[in-house]
Amino acid sequence: MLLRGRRRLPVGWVWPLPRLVADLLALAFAAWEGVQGRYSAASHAGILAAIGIVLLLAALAGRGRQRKRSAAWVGDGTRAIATVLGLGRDGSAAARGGLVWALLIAATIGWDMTSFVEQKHDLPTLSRLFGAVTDHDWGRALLFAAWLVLGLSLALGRRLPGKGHGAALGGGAPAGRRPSRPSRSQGGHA
Amino acid sequence: MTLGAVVWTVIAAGWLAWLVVTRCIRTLPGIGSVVNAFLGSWLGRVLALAAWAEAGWHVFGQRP
Repeated sequence: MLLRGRRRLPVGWVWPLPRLVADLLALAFAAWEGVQGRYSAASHAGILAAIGIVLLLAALAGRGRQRKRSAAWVGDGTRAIATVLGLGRDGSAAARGGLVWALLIAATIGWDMTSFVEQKHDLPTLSRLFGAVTDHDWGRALLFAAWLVLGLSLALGRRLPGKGHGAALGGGAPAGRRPSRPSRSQGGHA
Repeated sequence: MTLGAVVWTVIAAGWLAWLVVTRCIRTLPGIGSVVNAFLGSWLGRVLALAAWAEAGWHVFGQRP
């Protein structure tokens, strides 16, 4: 939710009409992509356009609105990994939870790589499983729409509230949470 | 059921179970925390967007 004064507005909130038009355009884009062949030039152009637009939005929405500088983020990440691997002294629930997430992600990537290397019919890769869905027009359109939503969330989500109308581009704090103001020790805004 | 199907089912069940557990036990980090950890800085966000872009290109533009 965006926090403007005491009112809470949804993530990525903009004036209703432009938002509605943007949503309809995105839906039409996904429906159009759904009927394109995987190898067609139009399909490739559409995917590249989507990537370009999302990256552009990330850049436009993000100036001065990251919670940490990259160097501070790397330091925090290194400490978190050390904790998860048991090298740190923190045996908290958060560390144990992080370990389970790491194991799940490693299992997924590891088995996908194993299946890819083996190249056997009874060992499908993750992308082959997705391919079973994207072989259908509706499946390709739905999955493309979900992919677009994910990309926009990654590009615009979890920004510090901006000043003025710029806030409408970038989300801000999630529902029910106030954004924490990073101190100088956390690296400040980036 | 093939070996691949069994393993993918187990992995998917693990993801689902852990999503439910983290939803129920608030002290454990949820999927939102994992994603948010990446979105905390430009570097993490760029890494996440790069993975997103590559996955999209692979799934929609190449033969999976």
